[in-house]
Amino acid sequence: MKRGKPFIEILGSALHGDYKFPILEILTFLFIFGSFVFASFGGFGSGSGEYFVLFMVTSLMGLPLFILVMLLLKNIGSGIGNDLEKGIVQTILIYPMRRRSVLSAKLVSAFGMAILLFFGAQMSALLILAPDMVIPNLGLVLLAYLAGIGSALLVASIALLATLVLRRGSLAVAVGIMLFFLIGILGSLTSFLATANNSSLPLQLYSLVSPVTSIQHYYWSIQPDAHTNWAPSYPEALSCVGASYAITASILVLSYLYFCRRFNV
Amino acid sequence: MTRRWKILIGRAGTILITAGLALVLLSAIPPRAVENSDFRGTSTLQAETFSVESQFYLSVGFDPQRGVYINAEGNRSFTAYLLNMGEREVLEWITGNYSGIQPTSPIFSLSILQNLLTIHPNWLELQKDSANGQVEFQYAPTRRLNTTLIFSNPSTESVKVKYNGKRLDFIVLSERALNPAKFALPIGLLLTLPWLHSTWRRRKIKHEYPKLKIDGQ
Repeated sequence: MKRGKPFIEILGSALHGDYKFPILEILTFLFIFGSFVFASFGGFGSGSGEYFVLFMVTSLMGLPLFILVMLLLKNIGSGIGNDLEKGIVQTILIYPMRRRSVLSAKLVSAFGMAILLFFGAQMSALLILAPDMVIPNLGLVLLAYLAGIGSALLVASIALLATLVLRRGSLAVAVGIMLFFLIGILGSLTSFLATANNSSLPLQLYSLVSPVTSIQHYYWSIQPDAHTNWAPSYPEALSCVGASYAITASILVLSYLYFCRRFNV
Repeated sequence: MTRRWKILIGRAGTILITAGLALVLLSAIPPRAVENSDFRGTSTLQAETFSVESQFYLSVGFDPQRGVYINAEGNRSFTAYLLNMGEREVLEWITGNYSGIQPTSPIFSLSILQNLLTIHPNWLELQKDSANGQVEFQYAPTRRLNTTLIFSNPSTESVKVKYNGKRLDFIVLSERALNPAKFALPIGLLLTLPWLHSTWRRRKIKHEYPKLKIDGQ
């Protein structure tokens, strides 16, 4: 068998399982339709500054980000979780192939394809709606997406670890949904606490699980006459995004370590 | 081409078709007129002059989902312009470059407009020449901006232009969504054909030889 062939085989099988016809097509439709319907450009005025670009991107993400989280959790729960429950993964692992290749193939299908679809639909909507805002600020748009999907990836990676440890997809999906709602609730709560105590600490802590918060506060704070409890510098905002991804990456590394070393067939 | 490639390309095709259909559906959603945003006006343009129209609903900024509808009629041919600069900036440019001109009089010599567009060609957002003395258009920009509506009379006789308009809220400007859909739909269909053909053949074989196993099935 050619080198890399088992990876392709497992990836093909995972893609087929995760995105049976017409799931992918329905999701494409929802992502594109939702992106246009939820778009907002920050009220009246003429400013095309970076804050408005960020506002536009975060407004576009709205419900499509929720669909992305549900898709990621579905892929983990009914894809990886079901394969674990039915013993399919255990059967694959009997064959002489690297365990990390098996998990990587599953993750490329579960995470990679979903994010590619989400990002593709969102960028298409942005380029159709407001090319003159997107193209000159492409770096900011990409940063906004990186920060925007940070919380979704964190929730998904926790759900993945839980699925591998518990070997039950449905429970991990439930945990993931609860975590995502908890992050939403924490968003309002930390904002309230920051205002009540006139402190930036709650917002700083919250930006570790929702990194887009730090980027939003940075661009809001550089607006003229802006009042905010937290005015991070650009490197500080970037480091919050980096820290959030470091947490997500460490959970993924833990998942790999567990799957490669502790997972009993 | 292996069956796996046909499936891969076919699914890419179905995604393109779905994206195209979503865009067609979005383009069919009509714009919503903003309540009480109607405006109207009349300009009498002497030979080789232009007017800067002052309207509240034109001075409030536009964005890709907030546009405007304008319908103008004249007794002779004229040209309508939308500049991507606010009325104040345009008048400041005129008074700053032509001493002795009062911004209170919104009618200026056409050479000033020609000069403005030569120096700032990027200020021109839209230009419509009247056919049969009428101009009608919907417009939404591709970024956040202020606009200025200008009517010009390039002829040697005077023109009376009556216009009305209203602000519109769009999901997306119709032609902006339809243009990519025109490419996505046929390309998607082309990509899907080999997969559809292969699936149809497999079904046919399966129907004719029910006990035959194809690709391990």
